[in-house]
Amino acid sequence: MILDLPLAHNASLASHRRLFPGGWLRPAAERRFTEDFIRDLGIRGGGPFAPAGSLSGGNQQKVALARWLATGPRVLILDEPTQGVDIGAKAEIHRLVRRLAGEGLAVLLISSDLPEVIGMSDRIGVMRGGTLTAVLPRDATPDTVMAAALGRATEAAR
Amino acid sequence: MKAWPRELSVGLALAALLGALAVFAPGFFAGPPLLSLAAREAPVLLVACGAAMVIVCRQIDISSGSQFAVVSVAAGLLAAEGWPPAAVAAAALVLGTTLGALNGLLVAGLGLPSIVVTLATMVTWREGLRWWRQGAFVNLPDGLQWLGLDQTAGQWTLIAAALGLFTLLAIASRHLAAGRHLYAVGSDAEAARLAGIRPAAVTFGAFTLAGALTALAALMNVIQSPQVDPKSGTGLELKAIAAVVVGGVAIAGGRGRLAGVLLGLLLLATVAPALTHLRIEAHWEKAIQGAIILLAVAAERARGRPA
Repeated sequence: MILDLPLAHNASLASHRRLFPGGWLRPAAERRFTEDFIRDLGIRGGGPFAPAGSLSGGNQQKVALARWLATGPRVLILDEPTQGVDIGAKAEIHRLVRRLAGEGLAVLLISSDLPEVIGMSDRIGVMRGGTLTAVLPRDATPDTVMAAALGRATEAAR
Repeated sequence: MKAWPRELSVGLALAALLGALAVFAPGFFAGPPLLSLAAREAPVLLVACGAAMVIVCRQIDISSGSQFAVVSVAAGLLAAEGWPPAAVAAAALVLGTTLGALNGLLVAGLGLPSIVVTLATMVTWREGLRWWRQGAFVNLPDGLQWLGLDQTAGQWTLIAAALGLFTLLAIASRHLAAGRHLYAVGSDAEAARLAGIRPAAVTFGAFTLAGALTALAALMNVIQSPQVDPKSGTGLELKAIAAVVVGGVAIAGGRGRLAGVLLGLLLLATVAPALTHLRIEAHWEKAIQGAIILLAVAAERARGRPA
């Protein structure tokens, strides 16, 4: 996130080729696009031209999400999307990610927050010491996940 | 949006100075000297635009004065060889662009600090020119001065060309995606990189464009006199950077507009003749220009972020 730049500029930054064919900025199109995602993602704290730095951490995180959604991805990789984000915004980000997954987007969520992992995942891959030690189904319990993370994967599977 | 008050304050300072001149020394506004002043400053405007692009990108270029001298002498020699003006201009443009690209390559490609790189190229070009030419002036062929126009028409042409190019650059910097990239890289190169922008390419582009603009400025200067002075452009980089800073471009990168740069240059350029007309001793010129620059940096600091 470039804190000096307005929200709209930050959100469009990764999709210039898509939004601005020919390299010529289209402020009206950008504004429409920004207003759409502000409404869609429930971003609060400023309009399209508020500096990104004036938003709360959770809302900045949503702008970052909007930036990558604007590129029209088929796979979304989220690395600790709710770290340092307040509880309300965290729940909203969770709802949002669930909705995106429901719309058919493949989401790879990387997180060290156990309740988040268990609450959000269809499948849980557990990494330990740089290798994948277990792939667990969605009904995994905190115990089975922790067991895999601590290296007792075979035991836990039994 | 919030950037306008800064340019506005520079504009107000300029208006106040011009107002004082209008009341106390209306002679300042006499046609020919004012036209000469504007024509002399027209090349500086182009160099300042290049410097602004580089500074917005959070870099610095102090080699533009030396580039200016090298391009001026080379253009003069080619003209003296009998090359037609258009060919001289094209060669000068290629040379300036190459010199700028070399800075860009060293800064963006090798990741060297721009202050060191451009200090090195500044000294190298200047001293190399001294060694090569031994300080000899280049006599230009007849008909090149003012491109064969009479002086007044030539001055107007230069001023119009500089302002036209300035307007194009100002529009490009606000309305092209490339301009947006320049500001993004200057604000936070790492965040820009994560958004898919290549900071090295943008930085290279800024230095290259600055070199091309310096070459155009050198051409605009060459055609104003019958000879090329090999020491021309000495201190030009500082004049340009001063105009950029006074015009409200943050030296830390990422903020500022070319419109401010034009106002900053007009303000600084008006000081010297204003002193003459207001019968203040000329040695105050540098002190007053220095005070304006300090004031500009202090104002930048007061706006919340260190300049």
